[in-house]
Amino acid sequence: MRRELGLLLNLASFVILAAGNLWVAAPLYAASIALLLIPQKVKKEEKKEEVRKEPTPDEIKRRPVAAPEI
Amino acid sequence: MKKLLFFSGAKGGTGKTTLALNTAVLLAYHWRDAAHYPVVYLDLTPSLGTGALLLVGDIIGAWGRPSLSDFLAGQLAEPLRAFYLRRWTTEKGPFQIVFAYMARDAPLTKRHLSLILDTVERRLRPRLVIIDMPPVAAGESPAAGAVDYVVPVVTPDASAIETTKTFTEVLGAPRLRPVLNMYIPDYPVSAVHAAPWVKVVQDAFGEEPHVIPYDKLLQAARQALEIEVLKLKPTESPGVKAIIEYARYLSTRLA
Repeated sequence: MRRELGLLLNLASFVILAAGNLWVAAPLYAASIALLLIPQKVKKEEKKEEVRKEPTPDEIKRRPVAAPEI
Repeated sequence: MKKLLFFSGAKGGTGKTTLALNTAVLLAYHWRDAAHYPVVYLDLTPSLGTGALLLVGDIIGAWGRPSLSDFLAGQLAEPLRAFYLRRWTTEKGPFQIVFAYMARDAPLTKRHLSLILDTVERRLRPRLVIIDMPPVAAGESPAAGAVDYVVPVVTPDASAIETTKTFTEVLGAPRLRPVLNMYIPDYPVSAVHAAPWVKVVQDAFGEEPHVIPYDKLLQAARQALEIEVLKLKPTESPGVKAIIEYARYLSTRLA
């Protein structure tokens, strides 16, 4: 989204410049450059740590018997 | 028939019952097609040992039945009447283990133990008898000279290692790989010996021990009165994983 907007502003600035309106084209160009070149702050998604739930004695009691393979 | 004794000298609480019972169950399953009664588990702890309690399933269930205590007290002529069968059905088929216990305190002599083992060999023809004995002083064990192999089980405890080492010499049977149980990786060095615990045990017994880490889940299974290897997966329990590795070693060593 940010990149698309930057490109659109950049294109618009050149069109306006071609139309002869330098004072409008210049800030538009600056804004487009800012949008395109300044890196976006990536929000680090906090990885939800999977909480390893240990079985309680009651849960162990209710488990079925498993084949004890060696 | 091979006779295997798990012991820890005069020390209790080293986890030998957990190891003995779990390996008995693992090998009973592993050899289920090789013999009708592949493994016999003898819990020789007076007044109902934990191993027998886990096999019986509840405390009340053990009361009133004939036990080896009756045989030792002369109230039971045939020791085999004190033996029981525990059978499990798994997703891969059934398997069973034969076991016996002592419901009350009774003096166990070498002669008695020899009679019991002879009867087991003659009538049940198992591949392996696993004996779980309570801690006794060196020189007083009726198992001295009666077993084929011994497995010393120790914890990271200087006195436990020393007493078990002395006991190994008294028993006289070939020693299998020692077990360092309840090992906490965060505390790998013995402050007394200024050496890693693994090295301390290796120096005491002449062989690098099999390490079983301390595992809270084993305690949880015990509180539930369940046999660990039947209810916990090796992927979730490092203790169970290490016990299975030791059973694998025993199956190769005793084959």
